[in-house]
Amino acid sequence: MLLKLIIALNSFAYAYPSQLKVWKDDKYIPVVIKEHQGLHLSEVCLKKSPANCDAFNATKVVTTASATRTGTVGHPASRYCHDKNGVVRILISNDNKQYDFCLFKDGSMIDSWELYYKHFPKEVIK
Amino acid sequence: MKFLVLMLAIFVATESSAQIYGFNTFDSSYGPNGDELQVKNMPPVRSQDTLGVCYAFSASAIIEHTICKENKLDCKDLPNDQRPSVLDLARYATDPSKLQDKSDPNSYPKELGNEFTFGMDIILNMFNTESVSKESCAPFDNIVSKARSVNEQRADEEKMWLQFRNAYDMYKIKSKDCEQCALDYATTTGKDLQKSYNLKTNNLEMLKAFGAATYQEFLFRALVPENCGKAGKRIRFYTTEKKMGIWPLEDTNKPNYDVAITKIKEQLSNDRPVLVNSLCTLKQPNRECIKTTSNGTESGGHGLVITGFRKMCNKSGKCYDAVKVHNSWGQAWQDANNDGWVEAKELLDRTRYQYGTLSWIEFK
Repeated sequence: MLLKLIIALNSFAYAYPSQLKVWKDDKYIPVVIKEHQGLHLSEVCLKKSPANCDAFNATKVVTTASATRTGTVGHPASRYCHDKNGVVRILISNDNKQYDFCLFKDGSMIDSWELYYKHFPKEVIK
Repeated sequence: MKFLVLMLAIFVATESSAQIYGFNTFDSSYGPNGDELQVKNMPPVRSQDTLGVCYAFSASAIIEHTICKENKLDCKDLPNDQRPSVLDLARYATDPSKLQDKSDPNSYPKELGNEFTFGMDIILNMFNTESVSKESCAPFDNIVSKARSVNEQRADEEKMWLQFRNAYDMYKIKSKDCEQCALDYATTTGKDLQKSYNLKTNNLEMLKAFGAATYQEFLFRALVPENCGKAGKRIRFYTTEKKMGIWPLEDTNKPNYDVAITKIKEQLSNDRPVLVNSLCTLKQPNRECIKTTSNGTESGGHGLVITGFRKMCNKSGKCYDAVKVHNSWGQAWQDANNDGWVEAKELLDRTRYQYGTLSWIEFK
């Protein structure tokens, strides 16, 4: 019973890192991430209230997949980020985990998979 | 009635091709039940970003785990000097029977594969060559984490891979009419690409890349320096004490979930992660896993690694088999999908149980 509890707690207790780093100009620079309405966004989105940045605004409208394909496929959230006119950035945590973020022209970023799932929900067994 | 037909048409017409299938997760009413199998010491989950080389990432995860196990290393902290290059592994996704010498890494085409290649082939060819370039020689992460700002990047190019594609296509057009013009173009554009994406290839290598017969070869030559083939830049993968397992050994094309999950559990109980060669993530899976839409054709094939098994049950006693997926879609995907725990049958049925659906590495 105790083992099951430990497994359950381990399974669902994901602490999303509050600080990640991005590779820029030959070095890693820190990026502070904040949670807002269940979404993980770069800090710049939340400097004013209500949140107003390209990354957050991208979650408000569904975009259909574009016809442009580069001949490579990538993963669904990366492709959707490009469909949203963002560019993909891979952010790294202190324990070397890689997080896909979608970066927009105003410098704001959002977790790419959260953006994707906002419009293409997962299949969940209930 | 007409209204209903119209609404149905609208619904069907607006169904986006971006939706993926095969990764059913569980809501909070479900919890683990019974014993669990899980491979220890897997490398960190990575992201393939916008490049379609899932097969290389899945093979890389299996190979890294094997390296760590053999050398008693912590896979979470493996430096790039001890990790296989994903880009170099990508070119191992080829049929070795067509090569002059399958044991010679230089025999393998210097090109990235396409979306129709498989992780199983990469592992097979690792057994043939017993070596691969180090990740430090051609670091994938530095290339895809672009150095430039969004405005700079989007002002000059739409997408990284589109820029590479456009550069190659433009060179080919120019070279038909004026060789010197094409050479000048390649020199200038090559330097831009090197600077923009922090490439480790030198000027001469970039020029050679532009002269490649195919775009896939151009991409490989642009991203992977030639000296990555030298002994000091390669990892040895000794195979005397290892062998590769494959299941099934021929296409079955029939539902075979029970045998598949038994095979998976057998490997997991021996601390062996299992590579799933290709599952179809389209809504209507077909053998080729291709869908034709108004935007063109779309491939839904994907390769990944399974590292765990458990039963997930609710209070009513309804239970499902679940597998833990080590995907190449970044940590955020793992976190958003219960750390990668998804329904096993839905995922495995999408492989159609074709030849080599599952593969793994065993120590003899």
